Amino acid sequence: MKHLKVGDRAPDFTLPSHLDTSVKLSNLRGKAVVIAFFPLAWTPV
Amino acid sequence: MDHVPCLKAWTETFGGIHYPILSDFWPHGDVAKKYGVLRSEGYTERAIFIIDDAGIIRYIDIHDISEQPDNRILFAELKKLRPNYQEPEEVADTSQLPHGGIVMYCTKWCPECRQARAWFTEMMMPYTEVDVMSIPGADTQVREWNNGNLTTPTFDINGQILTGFNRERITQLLKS
Repeated sequence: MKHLKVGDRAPDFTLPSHLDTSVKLSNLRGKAVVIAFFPLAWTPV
Repeated sequence: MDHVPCLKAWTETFGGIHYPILSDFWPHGDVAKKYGVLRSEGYTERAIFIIDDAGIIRYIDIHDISEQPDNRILFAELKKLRPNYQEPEEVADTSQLPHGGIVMYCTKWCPECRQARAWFTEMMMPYTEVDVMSIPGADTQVREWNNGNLTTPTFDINGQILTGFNRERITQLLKS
């Protein structure tokens, strides 16, 4: 598994969302994007 | 990494979330893998990536799984991408929040809040509940105590702040 670093191009993806729309990262050019991976729903573990 | 119906159910417990919660369910963790944050246990790191207008990664935070990220750092990083952005001034009034005894800042849904409620009832301990989603100023107050995070439950026990439900600590704080 490759680790990304600052300055790398963000790998593109398309994923379904809870809003019934898909999100394709490359369609968000011109916007600042925050991607948060949040296992276990941010709860303390 | 949950599937879409599960995400919908989760967001509904907050009264809805307006930004898209994405499902990396199938192929399982495929995007997490691309970003190098899939753990061998099958779930992901707690990780945040900020991507700029051109699709370049500008910030990476891979967090210890037991910690929550600090939103203030995140906002500062985002501000670097939008140096001219003016934050709306906070007008939250925290002066009306209750004090004295056990005050529990919580949500309707959070599992630890539920445990705490059950325990207080069982122990016949009086407490005051403040719903951070609906009581004005409550979320500002909780964020102030928790590095900008809206962590629930957070307790104000006679002016002493405790984050997370911990029976022993609550008992100690009530004595001190």
